[in-house]
Amino acid sequence: MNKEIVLATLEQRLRSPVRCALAAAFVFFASGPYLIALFVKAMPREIQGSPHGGMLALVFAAGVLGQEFSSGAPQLTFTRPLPRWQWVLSRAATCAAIASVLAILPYFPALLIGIPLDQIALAMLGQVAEAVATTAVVAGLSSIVPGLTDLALLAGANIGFGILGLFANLLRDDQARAVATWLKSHIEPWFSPKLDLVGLAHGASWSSHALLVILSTIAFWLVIAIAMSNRKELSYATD
Amino acid sequence: MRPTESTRAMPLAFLVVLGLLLLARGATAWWEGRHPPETYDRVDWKTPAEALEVSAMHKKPILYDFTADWCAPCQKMKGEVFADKSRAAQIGMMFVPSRVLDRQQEDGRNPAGVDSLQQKYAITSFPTLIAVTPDGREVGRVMGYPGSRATMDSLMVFYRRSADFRISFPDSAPAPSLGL
Repeated sequence: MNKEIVLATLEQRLRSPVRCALAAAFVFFASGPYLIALFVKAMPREIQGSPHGGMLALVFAAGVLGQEFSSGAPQLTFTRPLPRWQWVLSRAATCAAIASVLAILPYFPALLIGIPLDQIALAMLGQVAEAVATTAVVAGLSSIVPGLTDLALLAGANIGFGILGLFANLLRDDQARAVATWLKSHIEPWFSPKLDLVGLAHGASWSSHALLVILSTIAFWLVIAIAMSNRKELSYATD
Repeated sequence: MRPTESTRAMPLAFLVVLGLLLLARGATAWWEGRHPPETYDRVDWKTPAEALEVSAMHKKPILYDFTADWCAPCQKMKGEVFADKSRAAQIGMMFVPSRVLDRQQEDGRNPAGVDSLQQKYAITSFPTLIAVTPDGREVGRVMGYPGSRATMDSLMVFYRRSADFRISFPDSAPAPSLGL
């Protein structure tokens, strides 16, 4: 990890008003059920499912490498003998850290309405895992396409999975339905990593596979990001 | 970085870790495909006594789930309705859910509270879902498992019906007791 790259990325990401406004909106809406429960007795006092960890990662990691390559900044960065993998990991880790810190914020109001601490801790962990994994996915895609096209790729993939899910429900032929379901369940986690840990507090048994899906997805996309960054030909850059 | 090392080198450790994780991912997928983790409820079930108290306090109808561990349709309902995030949340919003687990087959007898509730609502088969007002009046029941969508549709109807009863339910009414 390179401290200067981390600080530069931190400043770059947090100085964007659009990113900050979007992040504030996601945090606000995710904490909504708990804030309302402070005043409305009839609201259920339990952890609500929310995709905000992944969304925050999208906000901060979008274009994390692609925008840089489009702007030409790495050509100057790499005039120093800085290993590219350090640059990629430093930028991705910074985005993941910002998204993770913001992803746990909505659960603090949950402490005030009496939701058990273990459930809150598990929900926080799950959101952090999703934030880190989504950052890795976006970093991987961002190394392949320029600018913010990584968002378009991810949106396209998710629309595709939605259509596949629809087919899986509507198809009458059992075999075709099984194929659609199989494709969706095996490919989607590479693009939309999810880790639901709150179930553990309700007696769900531990799934090592769910954890390995997240870890291997993170590793896979980071290796892709490093490999693609290594392939870029940059004038002035040291080899 | 060592002076001779290229800035474009891919550390071997990353590839080794990725390879190991992918192997482990495949292995656990295979293992858990044969030994699937137990399905679980996302519904926050209360005991019948707790349900009466909460229902009286919040003027919410109670949803009793009369079930048994050996009953296959009950397990199917558990996996498709109670383990589903959005359905479980919907149930929690509409009702105070209370599970009444029959242990006759396993233990030879049921706790007194379970027997009295089964007799009160004349339970003849599992699963049976019964929606009741806070003062114990039945507003509807689902017998057997007709599928997740039909179950949720019925529960919505029961919830709307219970709203009519709720208007006539006085604020100061004491929590009804079933001798639990």
